Amino acid sequence: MSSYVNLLSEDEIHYHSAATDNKKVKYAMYGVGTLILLICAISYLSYQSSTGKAAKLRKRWAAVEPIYEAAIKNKAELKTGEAMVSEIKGWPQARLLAADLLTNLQDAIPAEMQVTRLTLKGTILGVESAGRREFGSSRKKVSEPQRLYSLRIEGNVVDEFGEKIILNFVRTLQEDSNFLEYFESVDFKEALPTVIPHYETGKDRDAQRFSIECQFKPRKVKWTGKA
Amino acid sequence: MDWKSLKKEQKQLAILSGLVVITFLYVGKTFILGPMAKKWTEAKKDIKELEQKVRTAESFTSQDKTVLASIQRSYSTLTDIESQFFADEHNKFAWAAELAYACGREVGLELEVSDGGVTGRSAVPGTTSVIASFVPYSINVNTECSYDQLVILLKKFESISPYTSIAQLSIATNPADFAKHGVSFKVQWPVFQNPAKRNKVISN
Repeated sequence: MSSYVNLLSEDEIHYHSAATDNKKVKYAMYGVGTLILLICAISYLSYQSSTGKAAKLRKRWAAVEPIYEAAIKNKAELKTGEAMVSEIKGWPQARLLAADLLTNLQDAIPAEMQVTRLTLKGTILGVESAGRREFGSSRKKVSEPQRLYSLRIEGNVVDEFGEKIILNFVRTLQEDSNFLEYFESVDFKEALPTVIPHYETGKDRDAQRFSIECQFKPRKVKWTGKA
Repeated sequence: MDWKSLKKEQKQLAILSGLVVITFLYVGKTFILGPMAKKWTEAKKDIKELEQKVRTAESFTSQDKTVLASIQRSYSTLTDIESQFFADEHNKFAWAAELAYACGREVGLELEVSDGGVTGRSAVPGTTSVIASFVPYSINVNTECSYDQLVILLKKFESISPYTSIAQLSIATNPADFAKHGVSFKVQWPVFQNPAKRNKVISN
């Protein structure tokens, strides 16, 4: 004979009920499921909002892009146009006033000196010589056109102190305020003894034949705003 | 709730539930959440980029009217300078020779004038290394005159316009006549390096 004595209280009986345990598992599953669904819903809404916004922006960009590209082209065209204006306004500034130079030379040439040949050479760097300029031993590319001039003076001096007269003339070209704005360098190239006939009597006279080469400062063909 | 206290069916249910959840999560992540997350990330990235691009573009294009007006002003300046001071594009030599002879007549000198052509224009567009937008058109002038006459003649040429330049000059003494030198020089005027560019500027 056996007897069953229940020593558990009413509350405790719940925990050991299979039905109650199943319920708890179900609730837990519902809870997890609901949480997952909630997260999914929120994520989906955010996703929809983001993709929608991105699509709108793509559409807006598609409308703006051609206008933007045209504006970029216009800006580049303006830059070119302004550079052209600057360059052409720089032409008067870059030119060498040859008449003034000749007048200054005429004033500086001593009476004992007879100039037999005067040669002025002008070139536009970036037009006539592919945009490269000699800098000492190297050649550097220039980014904007420049006018370069050189002057060669050849002549004779009929005087016993011929060499001194030539050197004084070279110094005048190097240091006189009339020439400072022109020349970057003045080189006395040669002085050779020679004989020249007198212009009236035709009688031979001892003389010094010389040549001088002057390199002008480069003149940028670019508007600097100064007259 | 103690695992050991669970019945066999309950344990099976729990394990099955766990497996279902894991499978659900895996399938969801691989086929739904994964692609969605990828698209979402791309969308967010696009939004950031596009917002920036659109903002920049709109700000840039808002100045376009001013830019167009400035282009017009630049072209108008170039057209004015071209019409007043450049060698006539279609008849350069006749235009320049007429000016040269007029200068010679004013000084009382007879001039020999020849066409020096345009320097720096390539026969095939786009094949030139010229960096300048304007290149010189030249005429060669030969004459015989005194030094003083030459100075006056050069001044006449230089006063044609501020764009008229003397580029080359050679003065050689004439042993037969010391008062008259053999003189040759080159006079230059600017022209557009690229005729197509000129047409664009002029037509604007």
